[in-house]
Amino acid sequence: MFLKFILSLLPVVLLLAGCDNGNDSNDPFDPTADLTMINEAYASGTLIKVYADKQAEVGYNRYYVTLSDSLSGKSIDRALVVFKPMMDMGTMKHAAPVENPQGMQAEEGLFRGAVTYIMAGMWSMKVEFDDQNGRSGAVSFMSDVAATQHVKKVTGSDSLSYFITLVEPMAPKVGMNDFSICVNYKQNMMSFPEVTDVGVEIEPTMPSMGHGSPNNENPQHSGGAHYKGKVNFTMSGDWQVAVTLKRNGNILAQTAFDITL
Amino acid sequence: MGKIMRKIILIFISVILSSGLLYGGQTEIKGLVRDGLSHKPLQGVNIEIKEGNKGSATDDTGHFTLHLSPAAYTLVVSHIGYHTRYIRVDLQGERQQLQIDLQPAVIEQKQAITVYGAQNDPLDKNRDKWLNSTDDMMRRFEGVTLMRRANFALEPSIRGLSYGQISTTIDGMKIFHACVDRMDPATSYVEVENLDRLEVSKGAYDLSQSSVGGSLNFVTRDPQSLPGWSSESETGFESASALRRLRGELSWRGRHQALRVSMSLKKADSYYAGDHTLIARSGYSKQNAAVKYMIDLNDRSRLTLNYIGDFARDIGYPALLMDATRTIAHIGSIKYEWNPALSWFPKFNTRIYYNQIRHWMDDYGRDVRQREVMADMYMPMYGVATTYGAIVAATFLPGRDSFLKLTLDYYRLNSFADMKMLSIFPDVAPAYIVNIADARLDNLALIADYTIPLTERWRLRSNVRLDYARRDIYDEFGKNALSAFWSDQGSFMEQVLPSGSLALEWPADAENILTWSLAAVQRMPSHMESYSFFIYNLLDGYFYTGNPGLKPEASLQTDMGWKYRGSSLAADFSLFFNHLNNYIAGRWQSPEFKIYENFSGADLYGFEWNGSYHVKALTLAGSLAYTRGYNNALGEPLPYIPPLATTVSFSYTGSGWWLQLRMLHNAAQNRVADKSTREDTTPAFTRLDLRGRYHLGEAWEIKAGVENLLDSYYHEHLSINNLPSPGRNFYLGLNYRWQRSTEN
Repeated sequence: MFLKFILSLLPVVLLLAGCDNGNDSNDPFDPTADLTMINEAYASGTLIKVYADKQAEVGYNRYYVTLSDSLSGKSIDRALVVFKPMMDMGTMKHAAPVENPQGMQAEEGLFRGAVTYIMAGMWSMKVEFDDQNGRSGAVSFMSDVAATQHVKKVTGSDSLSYFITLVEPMAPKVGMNDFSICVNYKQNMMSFPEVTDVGVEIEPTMPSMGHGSPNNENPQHSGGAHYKGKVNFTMSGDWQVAVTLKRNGNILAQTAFDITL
Repeated sequence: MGKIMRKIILIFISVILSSGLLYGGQTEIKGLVRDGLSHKPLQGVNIEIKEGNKGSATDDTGHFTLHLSPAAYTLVVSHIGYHTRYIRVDLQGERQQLQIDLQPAVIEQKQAITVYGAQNDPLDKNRDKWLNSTDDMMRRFEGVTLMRRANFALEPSIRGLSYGQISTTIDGMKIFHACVDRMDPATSYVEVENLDRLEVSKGAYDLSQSSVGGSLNFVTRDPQSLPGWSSESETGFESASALRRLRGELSWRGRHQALRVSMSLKKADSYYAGDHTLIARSGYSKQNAAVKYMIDLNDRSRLTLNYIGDFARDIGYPALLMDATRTIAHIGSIKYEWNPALSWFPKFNTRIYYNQIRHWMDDYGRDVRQREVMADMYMPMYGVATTYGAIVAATFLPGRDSFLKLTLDYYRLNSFADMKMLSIFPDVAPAYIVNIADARLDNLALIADYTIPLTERWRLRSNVRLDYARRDIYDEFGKNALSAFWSDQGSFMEQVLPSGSLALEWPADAENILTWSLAAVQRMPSHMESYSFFIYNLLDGYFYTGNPGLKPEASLQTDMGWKYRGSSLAADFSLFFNHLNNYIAGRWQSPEFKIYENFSGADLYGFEWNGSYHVKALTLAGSLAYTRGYNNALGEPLPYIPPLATTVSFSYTGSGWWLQLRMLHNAAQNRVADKSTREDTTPAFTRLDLRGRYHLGEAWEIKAGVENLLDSYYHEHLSINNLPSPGRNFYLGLNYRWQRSTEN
């Protein structure tokens, strides 16, 4: 009688034991949980997936890439990943400012990069990978980039074309907000290098009222094309943040972003 | 006859004699004893004959009766809490009637003006009042100046200090304004017919309120003291603003209950300043209703329920960018009084109260296109201030002629205010600001007020007060906006504030009383100084922001007073000096913004004098008030300091009528602030008023007069944006009083 009882418990025990196991393949923390997969492809026995956190739009777009072995599913954490955006305008083609993942190491299983789409329209994107160890390949997709006012193209006092991109705030609120921009210049149709040596001043105003706000912090260079500061929105409504780029104390370029709370 | 028998007969005879059965040849003295300030009858007052062992006491209507043989006597009239009086009477056979006023023995730190000059007493300086609003009551005090933003709701300033530096209460209970532009001082939410008197404390010696400058306490009117019914109604008209006014009250007292109801309606159009200058958009309409019900629970305790509702509409503020469209005030309280039958513990009372003030304003009636600042947009604004609290007070008599009053006073203020900015252009997004982000302020205070006689004549009153204050803001939207200005400060504030004062009184002789007072006091910043956001000050063109890091404003002040009461001459004089530390004012932050900050020091000093001289039916009276203020941190005069104010008046009292000619003169004010705010100088002005009253029989009275007889065009220094005062103003009023007593 007792033995039967024990045996009848066995499936339950095994079931519970089975539930405790097997966490190597199912990672409880999924870094892609809040992201949208744009496209995936197989190459050299590797599955490459590209994710984004919002619809493609003019401005700063972050991309997240995962690589995994297509048979075992094991993620690959070391590779060189390169983004190649291209807009085909018929008579000519041009690229866009690009931030490729730094180094070869993925963070939390993701290779993080970004692309600044400088105009609206159809863009093609090719994401290439090479783990320097035999695996290499790419995934391609098309994006219909929506129009926004987040990228301003200005001609600098040095006759170069500059692109100033609003990165933050994307969800502005009344009070103190992070204010950050990217600054790139156009070297040629295919190359838009980062600008790392300008001074940036911001001045927010409400154009319909003619007043500004105090306690703003001018963006400081924080690596790559990025400049980070703070802007104070004292109330909801229409704001305009004027951005001035200076080099050696002289004004290089000026623009303004319209932000409505 | 044995010894015992003789004793019995002697006792019997003396009993008969003292029982007054042997009336023959005795004269009756009847008297009424009243409180000299409030004129309320006093019960239980001892009347003794110095020359013998006869005596009596007043009943609950304040009356006493004595029967004495014809001779001269000295009546000793005494009562706990009052200066004893010695009254000579010479009885020659005919009946005598006396009216005796006893002066409170507590060193008086308040001046009081009663609303209705109750008796036709030529010495009563209240008789010439034409009272349209509480502004007229406040004007009667030297040292109190009113800041004008409209023909309505003038804001009081005591010896150059105002707003958060002084305290306003109704029956000792706190009340706050709701409008962030200071359009609605708490004094505007009560009406003349709600009140028995206004008590003004100049200087912060009376610590029943926390302040550095003094306080105004409006004391509400009780139902009549005599059993029966009475009513009073008054209609009035003023020409300068075509003001029509109607007010009325009905009062009843029964055996154990009493009730009083009052109401008033006022409507004014835009007013004319001197030289026929129309000040557009300066009219208003206001209604007020009040009920007070009292019931004696037993012969030692009483419950009083009180409600005042005040409602106003379409109030024009020509000095500001906006007009108030509506104000609604509900003011209520319940009071419980108990007189324990203990000689050392005579009085106890507790009150709970609640008031809610709501205020709406906008500029829909203005031409926003032409406006210099924030043009092309409408800015409707709303504010609410809710105050509730409880006060428990007990009076003890540790010894003869010494008093100890202990009070526990708690209140909570909840305040919120916001505004929208709506562009006239459709493509501009609306803006929204929270001006006061749901501020909640708690204040708990313990006050001990102790008066003792130092010698036969010298009396000392000492006051200590301990406040515990705590406050914070709770609206997230508003908190985010403010945090950008404070850099890690945080919004929570907590503070313990001790304060103390001493007053010494010396009645030098029967006619002169000298007083000297000293106080070291602190006050918390106002809720606006702590938490307000984006408040535009049109005088200096800056947006002001509150600062929760403010330290309390502190004051060390002293006052010397001299009071003279002769038979035909009376005079009051006081000299004051006030040193403020951590003086709160706006500090420049950026070309458009100022934030409240503590500054190192400010000094104020000055004097007030008033005097009157009576010869037969003629009274000559005058007053002077002067304040000087200096900001030590910025090295310039303090703003909003009134110049030397002089009044001289001649009054004549006939039988049943009275006439007065009064001159008011303000000197020029050339000492102005330039750094803390922008102020301009104000020229001197003189104004002449003629007033009269005429009794038509017992019940009717006509009041008429002309203010600003010469139609001078002038503005006062404390007038915001130099808004001019009214020009020549004819007023006419008809007053009817009726009384029916039910003596039982």
